[in-house]
Amino acid sequence: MAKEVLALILAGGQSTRLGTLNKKLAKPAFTFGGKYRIIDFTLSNCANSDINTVGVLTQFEPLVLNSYIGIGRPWGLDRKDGGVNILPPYLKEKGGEWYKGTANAVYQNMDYIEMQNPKYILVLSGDHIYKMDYAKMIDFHKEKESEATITVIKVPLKEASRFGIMNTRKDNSIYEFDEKPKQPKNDLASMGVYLFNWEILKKYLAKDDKNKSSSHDFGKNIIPAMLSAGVKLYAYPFKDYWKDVGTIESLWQANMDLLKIDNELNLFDKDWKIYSVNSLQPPQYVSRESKVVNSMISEGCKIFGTVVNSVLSPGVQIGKGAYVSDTVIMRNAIIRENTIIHRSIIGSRCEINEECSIGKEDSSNITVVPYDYFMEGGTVYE
Amino acid sequence: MTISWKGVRYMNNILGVINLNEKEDKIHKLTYNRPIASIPFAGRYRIIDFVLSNMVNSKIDKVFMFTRNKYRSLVDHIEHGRPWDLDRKNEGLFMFNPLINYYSNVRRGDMDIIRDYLDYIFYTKEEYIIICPSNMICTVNFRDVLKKHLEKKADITVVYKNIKESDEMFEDCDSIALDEDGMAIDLIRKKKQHNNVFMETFLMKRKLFIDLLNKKILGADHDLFKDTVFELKNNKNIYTYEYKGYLVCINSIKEYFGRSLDLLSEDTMNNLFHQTWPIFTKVKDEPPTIYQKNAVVENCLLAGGCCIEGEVYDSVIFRRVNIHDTASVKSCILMQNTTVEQGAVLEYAILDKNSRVSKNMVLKGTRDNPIVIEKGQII
Repeated sequence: MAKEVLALILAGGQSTRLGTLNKKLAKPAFTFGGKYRIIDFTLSNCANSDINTVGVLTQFEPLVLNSYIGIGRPWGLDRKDGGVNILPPYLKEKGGEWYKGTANAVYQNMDYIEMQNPKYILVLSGDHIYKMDYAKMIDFHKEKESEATITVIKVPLKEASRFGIMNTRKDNSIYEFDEKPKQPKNDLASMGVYLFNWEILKKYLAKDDKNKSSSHDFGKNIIPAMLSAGVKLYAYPFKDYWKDVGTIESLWQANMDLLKIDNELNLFDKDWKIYSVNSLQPPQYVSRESKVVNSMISEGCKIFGTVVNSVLSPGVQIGKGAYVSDTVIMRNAIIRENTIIHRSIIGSRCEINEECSIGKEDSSNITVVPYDYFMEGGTVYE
Repeated sequence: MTISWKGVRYMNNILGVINLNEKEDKIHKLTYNRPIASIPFAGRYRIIDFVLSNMVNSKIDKVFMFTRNKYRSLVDHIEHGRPWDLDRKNEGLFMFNPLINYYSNVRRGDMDIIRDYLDYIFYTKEEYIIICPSNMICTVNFRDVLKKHLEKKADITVVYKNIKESDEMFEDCDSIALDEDGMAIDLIRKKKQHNNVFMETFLMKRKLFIDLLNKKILGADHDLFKDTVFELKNNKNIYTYEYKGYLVCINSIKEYFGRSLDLLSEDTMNNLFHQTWPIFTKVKDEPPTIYQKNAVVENCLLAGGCCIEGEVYDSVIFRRVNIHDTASVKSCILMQNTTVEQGAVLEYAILDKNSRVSKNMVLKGTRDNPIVIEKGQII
């Protein structure tokens, strides 16, 4: 049966800059906001936008991600007609190869897309934190009679040279695209959320595949090729919270953003819930001698010490006399008595013994303790 | 007699039966719209979660649940058994709601309700059957009960817990008198001999269970299953299994309140929640709980999705509770989606779901007689 929209989530990229935290985890599978994983946001956006056919393209260290997503039940995506499909590279009649770029990854799944037979194809990134109603973007696309729509967000002009910048006319049509320009003419950055008419995208993907010098990337190759051939491209402005958490600093900062009162992401919004696989832990316990201020705490945590300006994932334990501030602590990490932690990210399942000192209060850097790290008592770690 | 391979599969298998014939007279303030089984407990659970988790943790994969009335909230919570992985293609969770016969308005006891569905029990293949209530919250392993049952070559095995005589809990529970060998001699009604609390849990062969139901089909004077069982004590071997873990019986507001606040100790929590014995419940997708700048939280159990701005001491807080700044909550149970506004003072109170305490209200109960704010009330 023909679908109107098929969403493809690109979740195969290597998490190079988060490697200090965990080398064996795809970026979309990293823990965020206490109980979530990064990909929960994109999957929940799909579910909340009534898009129920989703392909997740994986390649780099996909095991955790595969078992996490399963058949998409936690996001309500286990549907009879549609649902979630995990799409790793596979062997074809003429041999197989790894995904060589974002566009190539989609091209290699041509058969899957044809099987779903969609009118539009929504290309998403699995490692961004934002809440977006894709249905509105689709309406915009139809209204403008666009052939390719790119979501853009205003960024500070001085940072614009880190992004792909869209130069647009008054009616939001795109006349120029600058990939990481030295002198940006505009502050509208591409968020990596694309909506294409499948019939058109198909041609450009095939053409791009034959071009041996192409890096097979949507931003670098497909969009410029479409622009020069006169395809109708429009920029869809997005005005809410959006964050690419590709670095330790941005991962930490995005967690801290959640602690601000009335933060833009608002996880408490009942009309746009973020779904995730829930852990089977009892409620959190906060003891009499503990102190918890301006923090976010998940189920299964046991707090006997002090927690200030921090985000704790399910099952974290904070021992008596321990002091944790401006820190993100991931799943099931144990912090024992009298340990002091400032401005850090502590990976899942870490065991930090008594009287350690991690991070510095006045440092501008974020200290990282990688997943599964065992720290002897009394260690000073910066 | 030869047993087919399918028969072998069902040997030593147990059919779980949850009998929700639970007295509500002392807890009716919480049971206007729900059975005891779906009263919220321990921050993020409902009472039924514990027995269902015990069943799946004991590798029972077929469960029959016999409800009384007011079962809507149960149906909603149970989700076809999904949270317990009991939404199976084969086996799984089956709910039996009482049939309503307009021509008879006699009070219908648990025997009658189960008997209406006798054919379902007849056509299952499990060799054994375990019958238990929901309001005895515990972590009993039914496999261990079966082991003891086989060891003793018993006809029926009943489960009890030995408690200290000084214990004030279990006031309305029955107890069991046993001999040295662990054979049950008698069922003793309330308060008489209190050290062996009867957990209203029975294990027997499914065939015997069917016989019992059939036998009682004419004599209508006893409709309680436990009476029927103990009438057999002279011609059947009724042995006992001693359970030694966490046990509370939720049959009154006083017990509900007291036992809930008892959870605020690490030992009690560790007793009820083991890594190897997970308690499953319906998933609600709440964000983590937020503690704001002026929040003071001491000795509390909190579920997800709450926003705490005020002060909370010695309390059990369910999902999506809002405690505004300058509000003070002491020794309370705040159920799902309740709100305590600025300046309100609460002590020894139970707020049922969706209720709200307005600005500067003062509500003070006592430990033995907590104030109960009913579901959805705004005061």
